[in-house]
Amino acid sequence: MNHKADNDPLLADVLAEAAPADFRDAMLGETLRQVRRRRRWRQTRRAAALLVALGLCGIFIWQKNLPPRPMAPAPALAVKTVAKNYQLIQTRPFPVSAIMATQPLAAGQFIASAGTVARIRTSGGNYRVINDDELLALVASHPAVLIRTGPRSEELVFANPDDQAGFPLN
Amino acid sequence: MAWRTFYDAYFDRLWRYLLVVAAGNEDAAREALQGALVRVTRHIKIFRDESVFWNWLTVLARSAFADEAKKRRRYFSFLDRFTRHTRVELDGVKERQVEARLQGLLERHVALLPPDERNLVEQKYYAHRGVREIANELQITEKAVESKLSRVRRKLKDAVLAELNHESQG
Repeated sequence: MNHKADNDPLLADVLAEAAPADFRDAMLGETLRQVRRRRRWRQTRRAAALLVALGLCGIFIWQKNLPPRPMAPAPALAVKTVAKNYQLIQTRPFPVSAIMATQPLAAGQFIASAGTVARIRTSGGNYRVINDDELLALVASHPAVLIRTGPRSEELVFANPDDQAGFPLN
Repeated sequence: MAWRTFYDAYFDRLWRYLLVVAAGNEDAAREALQGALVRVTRHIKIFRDESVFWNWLTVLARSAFADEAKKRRRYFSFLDRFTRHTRVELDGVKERQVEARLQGLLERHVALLPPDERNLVEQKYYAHRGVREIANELQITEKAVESKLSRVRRKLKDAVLAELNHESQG
């Protein structure tokens, strides 16, 4: 009897012998479980990668927006430096917008808070008209002449020019 | 649905193939089959030709087996050294060779069965007679026929797998 052609069902039954009854179903279930686990792991990995990328972007943007830090002093180089005996100060003029200018007030708007004029008070009746002799008697200690310059005007001229500026009377 | 169709169509075929690749080591074949099925879900694509698809499946199965073997060697390298664990020439294992080898081994071991057992197998698988019919002819119960058939199949399986293992070591 040629068994070759009919061996397939026998071979299938022989190989299935002593295998767990639910071998195929168990294998199917395990395959699906592993596939689901791989998918979950892949999704988790993608989410983690996305988070890391977002974090890196955030750090990058934060670094870009930081104010520039003053440069740290460079480490001492081997270059020989000469000590300066002066201190260099660099100045710059203020911009026009930073300068505040003032203007003098107009005369009508000026109000003085302190008096600028000495005020004196005179009272009438406490004097008398003297004649030429009495005048010359007053300045007797200082040589002077009385020169008539008109019908009702005269000029007292001292011999010493210093007396012309005035002197105390006794 | 598509996965179930694929599974029903190729599960047994892959299982047989991996049994030969694994030289009759059922545990190794089972792990490799699991790995191969997971790989199918990950890399499945459209094939125009069934034979190309099967070749692709065998490549996946062999690489899954190789990976599982590597894992086992990593974990049990000490044991391997003493037990001279099965080493299989992976590249040369072709589908035709697998089927031919299994069929040949099966036929040889069927021929080596005692006459009563061989007769039982021939009645069931080559003459396609039902269990009840055989039981009536042998004047025993159907359950006894099933039990005997199960024992014979187990015997054949052990013999086939042992010889596969022996061949790979030789």
